[in-house]
Amino acid sequence: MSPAQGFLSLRALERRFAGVAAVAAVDLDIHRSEVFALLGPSGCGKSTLLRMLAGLEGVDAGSIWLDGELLDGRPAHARPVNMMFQAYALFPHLSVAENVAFGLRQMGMKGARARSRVQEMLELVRMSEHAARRPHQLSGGQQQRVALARSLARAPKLLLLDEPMAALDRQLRVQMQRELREILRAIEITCVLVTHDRDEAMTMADRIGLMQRGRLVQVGTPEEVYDRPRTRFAAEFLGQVNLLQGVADAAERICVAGRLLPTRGAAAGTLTTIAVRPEDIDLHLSSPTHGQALEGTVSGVDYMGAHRVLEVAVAGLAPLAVIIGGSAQKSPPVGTRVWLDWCAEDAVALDPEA
Amino acid sequence: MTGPRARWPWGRWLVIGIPAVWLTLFFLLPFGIVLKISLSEAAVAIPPFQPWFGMEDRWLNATLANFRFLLTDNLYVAAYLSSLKIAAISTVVCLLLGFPLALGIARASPQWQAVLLLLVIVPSWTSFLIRVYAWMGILGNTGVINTLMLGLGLIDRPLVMLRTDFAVYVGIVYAYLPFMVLPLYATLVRIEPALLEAAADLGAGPATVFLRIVLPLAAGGILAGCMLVFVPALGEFVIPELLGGADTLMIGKVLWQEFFNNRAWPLASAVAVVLLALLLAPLWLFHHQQARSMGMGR
Repeated sequence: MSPAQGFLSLRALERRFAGVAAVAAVDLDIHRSEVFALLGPSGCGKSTLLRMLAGLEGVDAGSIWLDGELLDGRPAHARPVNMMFQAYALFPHLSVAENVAFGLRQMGMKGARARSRVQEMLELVRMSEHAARRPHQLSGGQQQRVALARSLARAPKLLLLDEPMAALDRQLRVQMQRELREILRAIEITCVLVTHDRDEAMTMADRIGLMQRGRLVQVGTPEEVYDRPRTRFAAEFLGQVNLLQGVADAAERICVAGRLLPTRGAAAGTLTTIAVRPEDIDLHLSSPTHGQALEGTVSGVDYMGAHRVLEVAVAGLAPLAVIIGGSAQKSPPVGTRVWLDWCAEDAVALDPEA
Repeated sequence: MTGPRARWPWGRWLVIGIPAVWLTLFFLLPFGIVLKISLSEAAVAIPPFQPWFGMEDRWLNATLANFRFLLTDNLYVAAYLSSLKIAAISTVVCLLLGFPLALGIARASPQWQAVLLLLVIVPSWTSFLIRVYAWMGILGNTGVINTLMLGLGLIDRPLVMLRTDFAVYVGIVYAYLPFMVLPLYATLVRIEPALLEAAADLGAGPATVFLRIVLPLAAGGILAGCMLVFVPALGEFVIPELLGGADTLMIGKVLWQEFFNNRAWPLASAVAVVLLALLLAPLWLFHHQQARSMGMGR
């Protein structure tokens, strides 16, 4: 096994439960100070992978390298890794300050030094005035801050966040996402977080690793994964998308409903599926001069405040979703004849899926 | 918090009232009678004590003589101390045996938990007396253990186990172990596994996780289990009577002898009152801890 490339490197990592691979063939390099999100539906193996990094889950094959050190076989309590648990797992019999001090004590840090470190951590998460409280006396958001302070106190080389916002209600989530992101950036910690919420992954992370059935299917920045999904699963998981199938020609065009529409990455002569985001579709009220737009009828309009989602019926195709601006553009009423086209870079040819 | 009280005064009084009436009728009143008898003088009569309101010189015949007698005769002090010792050692042994047992059950899969708990409870479906008699059959000179060991040639003469303090300990630990295991299990099973993982994640080895997380979180169950073993063991009568020797001194036995053999009702009542007073201390401690852990929530 060759030594690591990244600050955190996973090599051919695998975990099986009763013969079924929960995590399979995971190769990943994460840079120092990067915030990396493992994104996927429930049961995709993302939490198992996170627990493997923490040492709370066994590894059946492969290796984990952190800052040049091999972590394989090291128990959880001997890894320079700390985790913020999904329901926070604060110790109910200890005060906020004692919770934060717990990990320091295990390092042999005691007395004034430990107290000042606890104080520093509680100030970081703005919880100093609640140091003497017990966890059950805190709100969900406050519990999360304490859990974060506790997992940062030991200055781990790697911070793991397991569904950090799952236990919070919707309004609090957005605020805490921003706060958490700012703290992570400020202390420049390397962080792997797990989430099934694509918005959370996109707002929090520098890069996203999309997981499906135990495998990493695509890794990239939020923009890359959203704009250039590799597979149908990736395209659909990251947001609303129109999928169109047709045979590509040599000039990177695809034949859909009798029209030749631009695409990119399609191999000539193959049956290809392309993904086009609803907001990337251009809507015309008359046929464009090139004559290769899809012609259809508006069959539904959903007003969403900031934008409208139109449903356009095109003969021979599933209805297409088109997003247009809310106030700037007046919505054509249901029954209007419209023409749809798009730029080549907005229509991504997908890999045929396994 | 005041809402339900204002809306359901009758239901509330009923819920509090029924146990209150029950306790008054079947505990407080009998205890009052026992207390009264303990303050009376013994007499050759039926019942065998002087009435409080005599016809003679004193208008109230109450006396502390019985309690004074308990202090002057070494038998009683020795019996109390010996009972405390036997109950305390039995409680500790129950805790040492019960904790790993309860922890094992709490960590088993849900199906196994049900089976294992059933196995803990099943023996109490037979009569307590029969189970104690069974121990006589196991520990006796011609009992199961001695017969087996003699047969295997491990010993030449039977080991004397029955009618010793050892047999009393075996009996008490055996009889009360379920009362230790059940409350321990109930607290241990409620400890979230994530707490143990969090402690390990924060650098705590298995021993530290146990001492700093499991033990404190199980404190309520430990105390409840110890109370449930210690309190009945202290006044235990059947086990020392059947398994103990002539020199096994326990206050329950003394009380029985005073009451039935000597017909000294006032003295026996005084023994019972002091026993209750001894038990109030640990019960108060238990209540205090309960109130604290209730305040802790969750």
